[in-house]
Amino acid sequence: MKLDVREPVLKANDDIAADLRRMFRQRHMAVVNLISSPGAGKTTLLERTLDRLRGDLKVAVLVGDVQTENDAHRLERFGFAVQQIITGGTCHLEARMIAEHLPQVLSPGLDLLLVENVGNLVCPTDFDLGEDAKVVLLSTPEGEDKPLKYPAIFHRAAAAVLTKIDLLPYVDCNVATVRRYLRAVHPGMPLFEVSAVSGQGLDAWLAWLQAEVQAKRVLSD
Amino acid sequence: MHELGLAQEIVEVAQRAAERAGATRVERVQVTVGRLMQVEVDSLLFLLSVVRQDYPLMARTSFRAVVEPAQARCRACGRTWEIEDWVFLCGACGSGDLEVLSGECLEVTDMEVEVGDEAGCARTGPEGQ
Repeated sequence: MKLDVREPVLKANDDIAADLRRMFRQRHMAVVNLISSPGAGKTTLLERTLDRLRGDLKVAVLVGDVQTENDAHRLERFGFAVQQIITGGTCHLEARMIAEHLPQVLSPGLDLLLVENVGNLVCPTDFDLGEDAKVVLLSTPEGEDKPLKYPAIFHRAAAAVLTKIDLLPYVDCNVATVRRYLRAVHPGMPLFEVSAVSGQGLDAWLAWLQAEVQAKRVLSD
Repeated sequence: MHELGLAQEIVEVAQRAAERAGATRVERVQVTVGRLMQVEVDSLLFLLSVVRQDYPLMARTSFRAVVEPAQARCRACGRTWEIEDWVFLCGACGSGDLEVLSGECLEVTDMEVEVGDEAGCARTGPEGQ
């Protein structure tokens, strides 16, 4: 007997993500999922971001790693609710992990939830976490062809951040080439060039985050 | 290695569909994998052959994967073509304003199962009493 199934493979994850997205919308919380390879500077960008948003927005952070709570400890000092998600080997965050750890950081009046995914440019791509936007980071020492080597995440993410631009004089990375490759895999994608060390470029990145928060505020339930 | 997680989900979807149909055995499962889903098909099929061993209904199931091509349409000039190299720019007019028509599918498409009746089990129901 033939069965016509036509069921998405990731339906179990997608169903939880849809519930989360509905809840985030009711609370008018913007949710941004940060994805990059290990060491591209997600946590450092988050440190600068949280530092600059203090007193302006109410933010919470979920940070995923295979092991250790080191990143959560780094991010806790800004006074926002931070929760580490230890995946214990899983190379990406899944919607059920967000649902499970969210109660620890949820409080009334949250404007923004920042999710730092496990460092990986492949696996997190397909897993919807209920976010409004995926943001992909690449750092200047990684090489300008990352968008061509890992095109799926650069195609799906809503924005890209080029980190560690203070290292441009020392590494082989041409920003114009990065822009050209990004345009091929994702025409029109915004690219923010930042240095978390010098603070260069942070204003444009923060303005984009603020716009995400504003867009969510005015959405009806 | 997200193929392992995908293999587990595929077998779970197939198991639920088989249970709903009252199947006693799953002969074949066909999955559709979009070209843009970054799935390594050979490793997915290998992992399916490992993962199914925990599922008695799937002890002898053959898994097949059909790759769905990535089709795009240019909103500026109307051209439709197949994307093979992850370049989302129209080769005719250079526009980046595209609509992706296919290539993002990842589903259990259909299955061939054996149900109790086909194997000759005695019918139970009003007519048999």
